[in-house]
Amino acid sequence: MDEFLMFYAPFIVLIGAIIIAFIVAPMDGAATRPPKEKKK
Amino acid sequence: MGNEEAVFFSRLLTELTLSFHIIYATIGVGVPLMIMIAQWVGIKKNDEHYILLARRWARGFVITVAVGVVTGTAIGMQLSLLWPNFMELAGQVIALPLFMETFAFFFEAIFLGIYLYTWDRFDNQKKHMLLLVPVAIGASFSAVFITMVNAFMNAPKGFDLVDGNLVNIQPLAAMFNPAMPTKVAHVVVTAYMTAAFVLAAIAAFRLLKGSDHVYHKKALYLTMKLGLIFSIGAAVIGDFSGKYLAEYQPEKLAAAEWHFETEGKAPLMMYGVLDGQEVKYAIKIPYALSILAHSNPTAEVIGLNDFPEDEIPPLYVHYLFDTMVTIGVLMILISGVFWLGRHLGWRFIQSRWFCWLLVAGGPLSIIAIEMGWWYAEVGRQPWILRGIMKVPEAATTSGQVDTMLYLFALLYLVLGVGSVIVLRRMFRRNPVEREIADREQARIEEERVKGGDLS
Repeated sequence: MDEFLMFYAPFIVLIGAIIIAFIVAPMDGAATRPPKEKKK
Repeated sequence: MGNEEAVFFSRLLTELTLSFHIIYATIGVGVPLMIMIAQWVGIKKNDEHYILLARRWARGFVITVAVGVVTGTAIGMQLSLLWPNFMELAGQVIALPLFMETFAFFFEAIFLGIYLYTWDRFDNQKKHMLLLVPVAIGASFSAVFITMVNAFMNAPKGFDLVDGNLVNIQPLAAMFNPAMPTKVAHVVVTAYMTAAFVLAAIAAFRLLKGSDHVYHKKALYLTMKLGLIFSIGAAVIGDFSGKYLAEYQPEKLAAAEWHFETEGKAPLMMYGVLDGQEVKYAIKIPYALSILAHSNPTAEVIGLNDFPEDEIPPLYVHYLFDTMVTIGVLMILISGVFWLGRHLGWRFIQSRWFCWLLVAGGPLSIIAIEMGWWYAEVGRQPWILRGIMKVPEAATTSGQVDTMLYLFALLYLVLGVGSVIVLRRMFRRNPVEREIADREQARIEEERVKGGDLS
């Protein structure tokens, strides 16, 4: 198990993070969404 | 100058050079991916703001590359001049990735030049973005190859040592040494993380200074989101690094955690002070060191008392390690809260104090990078090539290293101040609002001309 975590998992996480970055980057609906109004 | 002084000044100069270079190198590795993602979003959403983000980041990136080239060359030169015995020995085995790093840089630089000068030459933006692929790959692989050399210093493999000579040399085995995967992945992912938070800090600063343009809001949201992804990645790979250290460099892990006795159920020590071998005022997290080292809360972790006294790294590395981890966790929290707050409409994420926190995230990430590298280097002491050659054996005996130190310090001062002045002037003289208006005007003009041609 430790062998996998030391030798293969780092690259899987790195490449996975890059792929996730490209997938979620265009989802920018919240970038300009106004904050919630304060409850009166 | 005696040999001790030569070693001292060689260490000081190398530390200064690496500490300065790593700022530009980290940004140089991380920013191309950010430019590529911004351009990709711009093309996908047909949004000019993201295209402009890519254009402006690319302009700033060129300045950091220029400085990185100078400091990178200084490192190459200093490796041979300050550590000749190390290069003579290790160069036989690990020269290949050193050369490959140079080729990766050329690969990046050539395509970067073409990319910059062809912004308006492509009708299809996708084709232009393809030029960024080799730039991003070249930048990241520069980091991969040079980190392979550093990993080799920590876990030298790929040769047999017979009577002080290296025989049966296998360069590929040396490159793919046990330290390589965790070190390379951690360096690359933290470069992406730092680049994202530095760019986020710039956007947050513009918002704080009164610019309410949607361009900055999009830039901030994009970079904080990317920062969150890569900082989580850095934490996960950091955990894998703990497993590597426990297996191959247990003294380095034990020094970082002030772990003296070999024992199971080992706690993780955060902060505190050391009184002899007693740790005072620390936050102890039960079982956490055993989990970090072996993914098992009861696993035995080797303590510092199992090593000869002259092979134990300086124990102040504990603070370097803690600072790095604290900033890493803080950045996950800040970016996570920002992302959640944007989605859930939390008002406080638009407050001035939170914006200042986002601005601080840029320099904090760079401090984390510095602490990480200092821990990596000081934690390997007293070895330059672990188990084979100690630092004093590797150093030059030249009497002029102190003069070199002063001259290089002056060079870095000029480069540092110069690059900040150039970047500030570059963006102040051409603010986003004006550039957006100019581009809109140019687009209308172009459409009018096209319309005229058709009629």
